[in-house]
Amino acid sequence: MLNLSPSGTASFVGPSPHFFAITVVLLSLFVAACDQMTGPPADSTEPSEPVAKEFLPDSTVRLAPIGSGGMLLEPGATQQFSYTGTTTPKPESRIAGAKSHPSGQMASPYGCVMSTPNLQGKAAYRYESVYAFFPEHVVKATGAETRKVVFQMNSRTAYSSTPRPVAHVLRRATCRIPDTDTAERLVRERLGQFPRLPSAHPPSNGETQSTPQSQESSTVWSGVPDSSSVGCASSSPNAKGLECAEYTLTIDYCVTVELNDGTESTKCYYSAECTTYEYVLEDDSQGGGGGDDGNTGSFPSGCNADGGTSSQLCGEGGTASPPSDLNVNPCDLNNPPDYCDEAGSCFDKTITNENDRAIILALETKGALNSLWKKSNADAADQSKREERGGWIVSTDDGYKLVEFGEVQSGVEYTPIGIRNVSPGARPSGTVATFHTQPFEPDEIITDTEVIQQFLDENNLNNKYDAESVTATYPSEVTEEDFATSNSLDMKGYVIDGSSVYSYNDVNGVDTAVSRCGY
Amino acid sequence: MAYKIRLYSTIVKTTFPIFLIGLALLFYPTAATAQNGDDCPSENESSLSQVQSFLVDSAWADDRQELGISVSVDQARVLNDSQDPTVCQSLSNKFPDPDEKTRSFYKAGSYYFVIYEWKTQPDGDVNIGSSGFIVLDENLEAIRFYI
Repeated sequence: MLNLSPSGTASFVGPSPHFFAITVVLLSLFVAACDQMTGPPADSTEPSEPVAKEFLPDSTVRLAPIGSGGMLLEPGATQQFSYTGTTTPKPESRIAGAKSHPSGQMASPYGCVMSTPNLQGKAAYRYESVYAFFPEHVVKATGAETRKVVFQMNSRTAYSSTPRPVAHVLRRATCRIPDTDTAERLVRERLGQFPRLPSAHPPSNGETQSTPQSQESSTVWSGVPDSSSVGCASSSPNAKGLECAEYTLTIDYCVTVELNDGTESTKCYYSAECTTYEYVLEDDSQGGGGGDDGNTGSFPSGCNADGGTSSQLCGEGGTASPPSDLNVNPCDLNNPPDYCDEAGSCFDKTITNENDRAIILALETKGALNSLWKKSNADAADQSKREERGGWIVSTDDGYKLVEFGEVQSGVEYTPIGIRNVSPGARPSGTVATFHTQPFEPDEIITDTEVIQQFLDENNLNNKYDAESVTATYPSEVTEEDFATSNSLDMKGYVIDGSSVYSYNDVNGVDTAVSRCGY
Repeated sequence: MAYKIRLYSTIVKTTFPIFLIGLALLFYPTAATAQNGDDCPSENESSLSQVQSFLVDSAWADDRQELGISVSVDQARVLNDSQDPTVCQSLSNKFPDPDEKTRSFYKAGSYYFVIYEWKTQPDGDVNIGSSGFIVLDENLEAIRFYI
């Protein structure tokens, strides 16, 4: 009988040489996995008569890195998940063992390109291509039929000591999976697991932790030490990873596109926001034999720190979207989703504030965000050509509409750094809020002398500073001045800038902040 | 009658200069105070919030890091003429009062802030968008303009 202590060390209960051999094999494979699979199993553990066995999971999805040059098998091909040996490895070791063993074969018609928080490097995200292995009964039910899903998990609290105003993307994955709802559910569950938070001490088994620790709550993952390890336990050997235990899931939509060969491909988009996390602890009570123990599966080992020179396909980047063929921009499809015509958020259905969701959705649907954003010339290299644009958000029988300030009064002046001479008395009946654009990236450097001169003139500084010698910074997010305007008008305000859509008021500050996409 | 006239003249001649001196003494302190009061406007809630936000909010973390500012929020205070007369005068000269905005001066650690805010226009119109603020170093030199 084999016992593994909470610290991961093995001991025998009973003097059996056979169990000793099993233990050595298992430990070797486990160490190999946690050493990023850089070496073959120890010679002393080589089975005397290797036999090939297949270990397909029976209740979960397993992920394994796609080796260099590897690619997904054709739909309908059989999942190849084999391991050469005389014993059954622990679930965590199977993939690693197969990968490091010359006789191991792994390939699948299913897989994902995914991004995860990059806890080791400086770039915000790490990209990996992985095979996905589904239970046989799921695969058999679908034959060669596959579907694509795009799964995205957002969080305001993971790796942050305080909730962020804008949710970060914890994971984004574009997957080809068997064409069943069961497969979809399984892959969602599997993708809800994340790398272990390296510097944190996990709570006891089963205890939930909604706000994992971090020293910094501001920028993307910056609080996580660069020297941290991912995936394999080190400081806390029985801690396997962070798992999203509860989340709010939204099925955004499914898109069917016609491929060049005349066939159709359907792709569904999900977004979710994680609300509760658990540290997943290794379940060591299952021993080393038998079939799948019901664990939720291994996490693909981390990419090579040098940027993917190992056999894994790795990459890093600052955004959650991996640069991959699998990760097709939905706005490039023949039948793009509605938000692609907008300048708004594609996550609007996850906005918890009902009023905010209704208003932002209405403005997107009616094209108001897109229209105003285009009028703002936010992409103009000449910063003086940009204009803050805005209007009144008016409640109507069928929702909300936007009435531009200039539609109901004269004398409105749209400038790059603000809208001047807006008359509250001219607002339409039913007005519930203001809306305006900020046609700059947060913290964008303003060097245009016309824009600088406007700032100097308005502040009576034109005799004090020369516009050509001053550079200025566009402020981040919603400003105190916006809050003050909300106060003076006694109504909420909405802002769209180069990165997000915000709602705010004078009491709570920013109510809602959602990342933009689709443009 | 002639006596009365001489007496009146004497009274006027002796009391009038005293009256003028008293009048001058009466108004002098008031005039001096008014001049100083124009240099540093009083604190207001929203402009203080702007300074505090800059010092602690995560949205400004990169800016603080770039500028090397690490000051706790409780160190932020409005400058006033009685406590900071020299600085107030310098800032007032350097950053004159705009026509359509107010401006106020704050200090946090060794940094100074000039905060602009739109005034309420007589016709009730409002201006939407940031009115800007400036971060100054200990020598009152502008180190960053925020539009």
